[in-house]
Amino acid sequence: MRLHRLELTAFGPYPRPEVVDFDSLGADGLFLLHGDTGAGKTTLLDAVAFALFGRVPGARGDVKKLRCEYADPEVPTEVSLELTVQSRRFRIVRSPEFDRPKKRGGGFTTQPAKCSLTWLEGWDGEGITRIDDVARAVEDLLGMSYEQFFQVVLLPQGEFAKFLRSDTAEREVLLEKLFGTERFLDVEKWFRDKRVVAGRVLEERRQGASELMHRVAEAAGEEPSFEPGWLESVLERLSLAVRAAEAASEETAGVADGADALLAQARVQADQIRRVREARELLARVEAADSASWFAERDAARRASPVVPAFGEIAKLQQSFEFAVRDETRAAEALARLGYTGSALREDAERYREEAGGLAELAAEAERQQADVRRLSVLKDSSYKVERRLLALNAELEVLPERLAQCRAQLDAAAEASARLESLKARADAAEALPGAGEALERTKNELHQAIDVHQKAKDVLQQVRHQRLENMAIELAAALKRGKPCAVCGSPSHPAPAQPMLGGVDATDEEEAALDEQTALDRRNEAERAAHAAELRIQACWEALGSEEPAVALAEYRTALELARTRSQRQNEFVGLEAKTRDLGTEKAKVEQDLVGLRTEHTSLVTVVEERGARLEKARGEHEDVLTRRDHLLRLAKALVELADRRNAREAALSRVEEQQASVAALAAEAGFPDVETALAAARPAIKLQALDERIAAWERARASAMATLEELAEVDPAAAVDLNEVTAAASSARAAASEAATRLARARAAFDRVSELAARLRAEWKSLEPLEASYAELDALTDVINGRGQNSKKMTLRSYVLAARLEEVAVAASARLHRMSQGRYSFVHSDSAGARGTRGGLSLDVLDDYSGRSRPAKTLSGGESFLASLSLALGLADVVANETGGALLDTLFVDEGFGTLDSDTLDIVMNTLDELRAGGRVVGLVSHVEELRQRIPTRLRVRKARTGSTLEVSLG
Amino acid sequence: MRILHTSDWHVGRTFHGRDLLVEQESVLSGLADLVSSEKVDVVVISGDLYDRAVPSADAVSLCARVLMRIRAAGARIVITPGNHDSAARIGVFGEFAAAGGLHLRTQISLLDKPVELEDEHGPVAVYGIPFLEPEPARHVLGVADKGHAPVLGEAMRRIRADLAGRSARSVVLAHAFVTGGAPSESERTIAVGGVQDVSMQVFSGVDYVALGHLHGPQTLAENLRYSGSPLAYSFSEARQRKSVWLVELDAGGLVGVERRDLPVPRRLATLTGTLAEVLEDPAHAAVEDHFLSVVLTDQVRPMDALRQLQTRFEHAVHVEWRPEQGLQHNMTYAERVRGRTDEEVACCFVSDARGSEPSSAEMSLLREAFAAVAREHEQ
Repeated sequence: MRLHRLELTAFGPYPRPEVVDFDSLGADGLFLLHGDTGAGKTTLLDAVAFALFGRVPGARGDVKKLRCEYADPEVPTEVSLELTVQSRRFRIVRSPEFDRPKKRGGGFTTQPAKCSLTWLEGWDGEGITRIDDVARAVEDLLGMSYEQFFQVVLLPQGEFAKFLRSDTAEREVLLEKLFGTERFLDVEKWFRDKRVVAGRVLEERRQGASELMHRVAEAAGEEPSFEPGWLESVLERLSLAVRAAEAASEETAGVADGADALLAQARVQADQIRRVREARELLARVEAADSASWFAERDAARRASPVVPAFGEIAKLQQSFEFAVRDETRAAEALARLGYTGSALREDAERYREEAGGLAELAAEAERQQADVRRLSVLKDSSYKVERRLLALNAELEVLPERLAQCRAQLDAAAEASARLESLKARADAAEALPGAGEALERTKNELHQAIDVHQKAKDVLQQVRHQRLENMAIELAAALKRGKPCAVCGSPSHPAPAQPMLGGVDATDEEEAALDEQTALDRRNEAERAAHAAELRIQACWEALGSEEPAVALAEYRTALELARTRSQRQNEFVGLEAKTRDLGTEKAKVEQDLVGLRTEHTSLVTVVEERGARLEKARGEHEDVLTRRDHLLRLAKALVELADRRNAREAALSRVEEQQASVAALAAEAGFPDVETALAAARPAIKLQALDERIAAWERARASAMATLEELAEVDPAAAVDLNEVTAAASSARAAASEAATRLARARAAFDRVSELAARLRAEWKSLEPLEASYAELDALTDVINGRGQNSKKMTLRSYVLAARLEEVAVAASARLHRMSQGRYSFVHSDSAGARGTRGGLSLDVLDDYSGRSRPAKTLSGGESFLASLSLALGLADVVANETGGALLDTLFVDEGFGTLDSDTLDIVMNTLDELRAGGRVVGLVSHVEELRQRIPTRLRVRKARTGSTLEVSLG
Repeated sequence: MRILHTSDWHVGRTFHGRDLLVEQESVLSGLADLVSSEKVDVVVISGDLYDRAVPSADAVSLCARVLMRIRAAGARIVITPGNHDSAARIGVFGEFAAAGGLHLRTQISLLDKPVELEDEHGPVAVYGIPFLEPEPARHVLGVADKGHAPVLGEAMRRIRADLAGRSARSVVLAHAFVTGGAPSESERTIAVGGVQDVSMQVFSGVDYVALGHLHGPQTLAENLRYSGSPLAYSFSEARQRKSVWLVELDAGGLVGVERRDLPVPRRLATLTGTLAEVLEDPAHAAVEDHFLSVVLTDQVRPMDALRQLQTRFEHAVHVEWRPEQGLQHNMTYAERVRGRTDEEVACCFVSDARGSEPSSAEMSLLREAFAAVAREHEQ
């Protein structure tokens, strides 16, 4: 990194724009920045830091106070820094947030912070304008953050010796950022966090186990105790209680069983006495009943049962007989209605049927007669219609020939007109063109007259011009004369009196113009003559075409013929249509005449047939309306006769069946042992009543049998004996209650034992599962302590210190090389990993080895001047080691701010030599100091002048 | 179809404080030439496009230029974010970018929705698995087990399920440490609870798996490869040949994979000797324009060593002082820390501070701590 140019405006104590050209200041590699205290030397370094990082180091870090208080309120605060990093040259322009006066009205408005980065050389970028993007680009290029920058590049006032004096914890923070080992810090933190989380989890689990133990105690009804073996002793006590309860339960159960047996025996005895008493009562009741009459009634009813249905059958047959009498009466009435009076029913029926058969053929003829009469009336209608059509056809055919002839004549006239049309059109065109042609002739003649006039005038003008020119020829010749040259006319070289030019003179040009005009006029005249001639010819042609005809007549004739010709095709169509119609009507007439003849013939023959058949049918009709009616009557009469004969037979059969059934019923009653039918019917019982009688008898028999059986079974039981059940029952129930109470106590003891056993098992499992958790927590806890420099860590050193110690060792070596030189071989640095006082963490201590005493002592004990030397060495050593790690971005500009005041002049010499050496590699070193002696040693100086209105800069080179 | 497989660009990465944008642009632009000369259809980039979650403006515009050139050369591009990238930032405007042929597959929930490409043999489904940070990925994918392997397993299960419903050849992009890969110093561990690697079997069932994360190119199986980074990002990679894979698919799937070496913009070298030797030895002329890491063996620590070295070796970026006879007696810490990984340092620390070596349980705690802190730093 090399700085080129710094510009600042209204920044710190500088109200006006100031420029620092590091290129020229750094030409020698070493320059001094000096001035009075408080003039603003360090502010320049702040400006560099602000440009790069937007912040300034140390206590001056409040960016809002960067604005110059003396500056014109309108002038914005701005810092611009041009520098090269990694062979890219670029400029950063940055303004802090500040208040500027409002453009309108009073008060202030806040101008936000701004920043931009512009690439100048070595990179084709578009530039960056966002503050965070700039910050990222700067950090990427420099390879360091602002903290590192302030420690390694800008060694700031006050903080310069901080690193030398700081303790392990502070060194850790700085070195960690310089060497990028923050991950070890994070690992330490990761362990601490993990321990907290794991501890919380473990505590929760322990809590769970403790709750479980309380539940064991509660279930066992004891106080919880953490003594070993407590759980086992609780279980033992509970198990003893269970065994005692078991014994008590067994004993009471035996007593209760004995009491129960006695009770059962007493109950059986009481029951038998009751049964014997009941049986005796039942038997007495059964024997008192009237059972003999029940048996007699049942037997009579059973015997009468066949008579009842046979008697019912008589009524049904009687009914059939009555229906047959009614049917016969109806048939006789129907026959009487047909007018029959005879008595030989079946013979008469046979006779009438034969008569009807003889009439069958005549009936068919009567039907045909009806059809023929209908046909005759149809024939009459058709004949009338055909005759009418024939009359109409004749009328139409009569007028057609005349219309045909008329149409023919019109067609011929149209054809003739169209043949003439061509010749008529030529004449009509000529007649139409005639008026236009006349006008054209008139116009061309007028134009010809004008052209002739114009030409005549032009000709006159030409002659006049020619004439005039001849007259003026002398003047023209004279104008062509030249002194000393021979005259074209006389050849004399001297021209004593040449003619003088005069106004209005004419020359060759004028003549040429006049001749041209005349020629133009002549051309026009010829053209007009040609046009007039052409018009004349056209009019003549028109007259020729017309011949002897008047123009108006020719036009009219043409128009008439045109009209006529246009009707030609219409006439043609009309004529063809008429011809076709004539043909069609003729054909139809022939057909109609033929039809008429056919109709008349059929009518005549049909009339004859109808008359003959009518006579025959009249004779066969008899006294009926016609033959068909008569035949119908005969058939119906025969059918009625047969019906009556059948019904009479049926009535007789029914009567004989009634009489048979009455005889059969009387026989049945006698057979069953009854004197007559009436007695038998009285003894009969309906089925349902008979069944009830049967059941009553059966029940009586069962009751009697049952009572007898019981008395036989319990023959030795005395119905008068007595048993007291109450006493026995009370004894049994109190024994049972005692047994049940003992069983409840046993169940409770067993439940308590089971519950406690189950909880105890869970508690043991919980203790078991806690074991590895406790172990892994203990391991994590111990490891976390070790990593964080506590507990088993004998060095009291954290992991990050351990890692950084390696770097610090190298820093100590690098710094010692410089310190050794500057302290004239007296001091060098040694790294110490010893723990600090009062158990503080160790690992990153730096001691100074004093060669005079051969002992090392803490760096804090160095004097002021020695501290400066040590700090400077350490800073340079640190920069060296950092560069080796990340060699990409070497630092070519270095500032040392203050500290020189503490040095004696010999030491100052040595320090200056050391700083001189730094220049060797192309580095530029800027010293900030107000020490007088340095001013004499360093010729390139940048002076800061302080004034009431703010500071200014002044450069002196050599 | 020809696919160019690359990964781990780490655009914006610095090299020992030196920015590498110019070098990165020259190498990455060479990919565009490769696309046109080899008629590449698709370029797949398996993670770690940028070096950090919020890349600088320069890095973003460089990346945009390079991708434009590749697209202009005729290839479509598929990108998934790696453990260094911010998926949300990479994926912004993804749908618009897809319309222009740049497919940003950054959403875990959409990892089974492939980029659907087509060649004369039919469709090719390119699935991009964004780097699966185990905790959030478990939540999105609904996986109960912790670690990288279960979430990646679930991701592949979903991909195979989607693939079962298509008749297509398949390519998967993933960013992971697959068992058997050889790490370099410039990769950041993705370990969680001590386990960072996943087995190769996880990726079965696809035609080609384009892996990212490891910086050295390597072949775990014919169809399972790391392309490695296009540039060396640590001195441990000085011997690697940086390259990309050209993957050829035909109707039946993978036909063959060819290696194409990338140009090296600036070689890496390590020199050892005293400062005077290193500065004067004419044999070192060959490495004068290399990026140099120098081990100085002077007995006395030279002052301003890097500044002096840079007068001859402009690109010397790192210096380590390691005296020939060992460090002085007062530099025991440097001896203990130098050249060791963070975990080894922590192990030594515990031994030194407590007097006993850390147990294996303690070591795994330490590993977990470093992995957690590394992730935190990125965010």
